[in-house]
Amino acid sequence: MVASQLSAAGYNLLAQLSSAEGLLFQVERHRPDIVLIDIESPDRDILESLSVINQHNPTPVAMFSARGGAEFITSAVEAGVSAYMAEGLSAERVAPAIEIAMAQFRSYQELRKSLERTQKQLDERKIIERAKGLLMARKNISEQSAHQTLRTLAMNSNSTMQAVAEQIVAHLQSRV
Amino acid sequence: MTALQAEKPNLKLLYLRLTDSAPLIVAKEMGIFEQYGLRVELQRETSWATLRDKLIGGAADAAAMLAPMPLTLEQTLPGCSEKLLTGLILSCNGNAITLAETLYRQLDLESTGDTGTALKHHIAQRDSDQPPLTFATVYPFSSHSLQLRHWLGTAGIDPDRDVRIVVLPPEQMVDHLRRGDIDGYCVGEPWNTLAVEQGIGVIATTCNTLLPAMPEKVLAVTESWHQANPATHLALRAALLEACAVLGERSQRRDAVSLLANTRYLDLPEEAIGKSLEDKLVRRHAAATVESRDWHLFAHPLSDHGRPEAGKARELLALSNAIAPVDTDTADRFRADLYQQTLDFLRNRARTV
Repeated sequence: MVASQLSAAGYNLLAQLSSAEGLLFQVERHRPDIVLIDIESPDRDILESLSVINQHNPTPVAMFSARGGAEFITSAVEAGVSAYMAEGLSAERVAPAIEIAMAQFRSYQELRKSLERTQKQLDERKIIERAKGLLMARKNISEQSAHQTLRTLAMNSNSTMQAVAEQIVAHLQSRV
Repeated sequence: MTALQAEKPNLKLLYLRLTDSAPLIVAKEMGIFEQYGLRVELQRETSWATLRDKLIGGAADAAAMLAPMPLTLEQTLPGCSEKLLTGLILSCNGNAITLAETLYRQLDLESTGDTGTALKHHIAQRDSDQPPLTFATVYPFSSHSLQLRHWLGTAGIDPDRDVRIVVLPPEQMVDHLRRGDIDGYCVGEPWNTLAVEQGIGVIATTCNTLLPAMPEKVLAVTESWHQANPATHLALRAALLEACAVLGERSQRRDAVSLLANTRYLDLPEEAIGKSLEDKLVRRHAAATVESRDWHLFAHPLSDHGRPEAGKARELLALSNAIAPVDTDTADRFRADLYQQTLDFLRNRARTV
């Protein structure tokens, strides 16, 4: 029934799986644009891992409830949980739900990337601070001159301050 | 008993089909919830994601949840306006790492000494055109992922480059291992013992010896639920801490096994559930039983294992950061103050009885 409604809405169905059929391996084979899944399916954690961990191709997911008793969905969606479809699939509802899920997926990926960027900047700052600390201790120079040393080294070797800081930390630590 | 005016005496709690869901089942079946004025319905879920979404959507009041989940909510649901918090770590440990019997047989254990080193040698000797060995864990941000990565790392195996790590639901682990889709996994009990009993898996290590006392399951609620129901939350934590203490007694654990095995709960053989609950480890089919102390380490008012300290949260976050960058500012979702409140309440209650 779901399949015919999806076709009616103009979607090309790549594979239809019941649970415990190796969803993960099927996603890798078919590389779908979107996966539709029942909220009660045990395979939900597999799909969540595909969007959280970037080493696999992240895949957008839309969820529907095949059975009743899913009143929580409205408030869950309001809280930003995901694009759920409350009462099963219907031809007129499936297209907007899929569009919402794909749009939400894109904005999630953006948010995750910015979180990663922030984290990377923090890590960079940490290593630069460490290098400066080591320079100050070993060369008995001020924080400002340590910073300047790093910047000069980076400019002269045509690399980033982080790369230079990493080299300095590795070098000075190996001499302990 | 000191009366607690619970704002909401009828509660629904969520759990997964795992041995360490025991505190919830014991509190329900032994009437401990009632002693604290609560009427509780337990509802079994099939995935961590749905358990979490139902909690956030208000379809349930509380849940036994993976310890890193409240800490990593921003990473998994970047648009979520709700927060999850915990005032009680229900249990530590409880997991193990299992290798496929077929893989285990190929390992050269005699010259290398331990399973991890033998696995590293095995991986190094594989042809480069072969697909990498695949290991499964139950959720990206789970103690299982952290423990599996740690075990591989300790053996000199790079968890990101030398092997492939995927996510599968606990109930599907044994079937996937049998089909050869995966070469091993880290999962909570009884799903390791079941693979051993069927002769298709060998337990490489239990996680209580790998990373002792790592927080495993927490009692999670949403921040807004906690604010609306502070006394109910206290009664719930008190009841569950008492159930955890019951599980600390060996004789009680044997009784708990038959409660858990019930079709309403885990719906699995007592034989399999009893192993880890009674610290009995059988590594390989037909091998001798050895003691694995604290395979499950439940909270207890006289120990600190149940106290959700910010330091424990920071350790979990630091380890999770190796999987995907996580917000390191969420350590305050572990509420040691609420745990202290539970202890104070229990002590005060003991004096007035």
